[in-house]
Amino acid sequence: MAKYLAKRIFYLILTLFIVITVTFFLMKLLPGTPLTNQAKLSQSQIALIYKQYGLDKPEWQQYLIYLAGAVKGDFGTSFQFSDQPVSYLLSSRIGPSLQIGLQAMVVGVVLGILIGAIGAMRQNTWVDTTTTVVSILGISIPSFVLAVLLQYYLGLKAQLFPIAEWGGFIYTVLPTLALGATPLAESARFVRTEMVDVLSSDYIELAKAKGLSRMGVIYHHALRNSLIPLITIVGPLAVNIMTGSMVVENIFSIPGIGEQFVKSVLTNDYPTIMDLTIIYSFMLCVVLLFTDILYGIADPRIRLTGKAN
Amino acid sequence: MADTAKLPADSFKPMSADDRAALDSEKIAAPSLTFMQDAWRRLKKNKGAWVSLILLALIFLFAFGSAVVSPHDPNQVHPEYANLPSKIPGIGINGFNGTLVQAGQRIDAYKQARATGAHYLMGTDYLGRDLLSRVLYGTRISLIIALVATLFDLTIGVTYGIFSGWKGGRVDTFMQRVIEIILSIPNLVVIVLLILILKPGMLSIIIAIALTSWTNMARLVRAQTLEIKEQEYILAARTLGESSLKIAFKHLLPNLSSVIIINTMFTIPSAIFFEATLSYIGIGISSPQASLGTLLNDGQKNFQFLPYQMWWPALVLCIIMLAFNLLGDGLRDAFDPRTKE
Repeated sequence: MAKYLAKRIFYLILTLFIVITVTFFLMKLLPGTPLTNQAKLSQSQIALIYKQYGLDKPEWQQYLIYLAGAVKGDFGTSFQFSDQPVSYLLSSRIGPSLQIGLQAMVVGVVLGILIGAIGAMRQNTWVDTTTTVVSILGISIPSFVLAVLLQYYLGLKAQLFPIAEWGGFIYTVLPTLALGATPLAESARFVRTEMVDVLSSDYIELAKAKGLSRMGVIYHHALRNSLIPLITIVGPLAVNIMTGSMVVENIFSIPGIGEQFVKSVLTNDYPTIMDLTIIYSFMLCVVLLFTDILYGIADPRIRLTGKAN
Repeated sequence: MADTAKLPADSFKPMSADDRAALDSEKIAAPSLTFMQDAWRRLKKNKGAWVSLILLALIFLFAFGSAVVSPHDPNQVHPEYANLPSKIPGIGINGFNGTLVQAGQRIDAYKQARATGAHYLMGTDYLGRDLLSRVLYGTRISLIIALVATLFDLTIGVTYGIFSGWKGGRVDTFMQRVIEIILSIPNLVVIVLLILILKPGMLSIIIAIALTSWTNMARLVRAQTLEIKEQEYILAARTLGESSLKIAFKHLLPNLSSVIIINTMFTIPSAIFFEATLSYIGIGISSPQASLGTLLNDGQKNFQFLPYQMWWPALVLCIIMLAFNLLGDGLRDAFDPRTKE
């Protein structure tokens, strides 16, 4: 286990190093300059600004400086907001994104498990059909369409929730729903398929024959065994939420990193884009590592050390 | 040996008509079906998938047919007919009869714009362009992007997967590490970075989506290749001196076809989704070109007052996504009957 963990952490660092390197040199290829009014500036002014941000040095030096800074958690200064270190700019924005992302994941997966389990228990009835329709709709409707509809009907028309901005918990409800739809649908589908499979296995028959109550069979035997494989889709779901958050945060004007990413992209704020890419990769790596370990614990049949090949 | 031949002659008798009929009942009358015919038969039984297939065929027909025959020019601006709601002749339901709620009152927008003779099935946008033509045009662009990106993604993914699985050993481990690294960066981030470098436009979206979404296909194809590689017929082919390339085309590819087709059905909607998201953010297709994403973005701005401008493209987008997902599910069941309950 310790050996496996060390190996995985080594790969995590390697991945981040590659991500940093690739994004750094990709950014250098980007067209356009970070200066808004380049035409109005004199040659010496441009030189001064470049010097201030360290852009006058050769690229390999910039890269080493950046790498050394990244290790210490210093990702340079934002071009868009002068004098604001990127790490400071983003540290206040990670909170809202994490909150909404986690809420969406938890709400989505928990409801998804429930819906999937109910569908499997009432297999081939109208209940099952309804749950299937719900899950296929959840997968097919893009989160940004859902976000706008929720904002309009639940926010503006019904006045149930604030339509935008960031305040207390009530402000997180609509974005959570918009982002949670896909995890809900995916996990409902997944749990249903798994559980239908499990319900027809011999040990379920045995449990029934022992005289266990219906709920006992479902809870202790069917549900538990159906949930283990669900861990494997947590990683892809996290990606989905990250992707969705970029648009959904914009729609609800939530001061999160997704909104900042879109903003930075539109203003050529390279240091912020780079840092955000690294943050996203780091979060995803951690989620993947976490789910792999969890899977090994939940299902002893999978030996972590054997997974390397 | 001679003993066995000493059977009395009366223990044999000619077959009666009844016996012959009994023999016939054992005969398999139905023609034997190939794998694809069998899958096709199963697919036709799946109502959802069948309806989806027909819907998709219609959408393709209309979207690509509108390049030749279109109700209106999608880029023709009619400022005097701006923001007319949808009007379908013969339907009196509010929302489809050309009326609009303005300042608390329902008025006939067509009368107001002095366009009583005209009827736009999906209405017009803020520049008076026919929304139906624009939705068809946008669907076409979205589909082209998705299909071309999927084609690239298919080529890269399948080649990568077969190569990785076939070679095995160190090469395989290395190639899988590369995929793991790519997978640990969210797709959209990479796509956005690539588009910024290549300058926004149709081609760069296609390249960006193709370059990032092949990993899933590569993984599935690799896993399947590892399995097929151990089969006897591959061993036979190798023993007979067949080259690796020929084995890949003659033996691996046909046996991988179901995995590839099923995964393609899920890649296309995700490509459509990425394109729509990018255009929605504002770094995708730029005007005068339109895609479903840009139409949604335009429509969303006026959603409170002119909801039809977003409903129509949203509806088309959702139907396309839904149809591809249902068809993909149907194909998975059709190709792999074991998964069917």
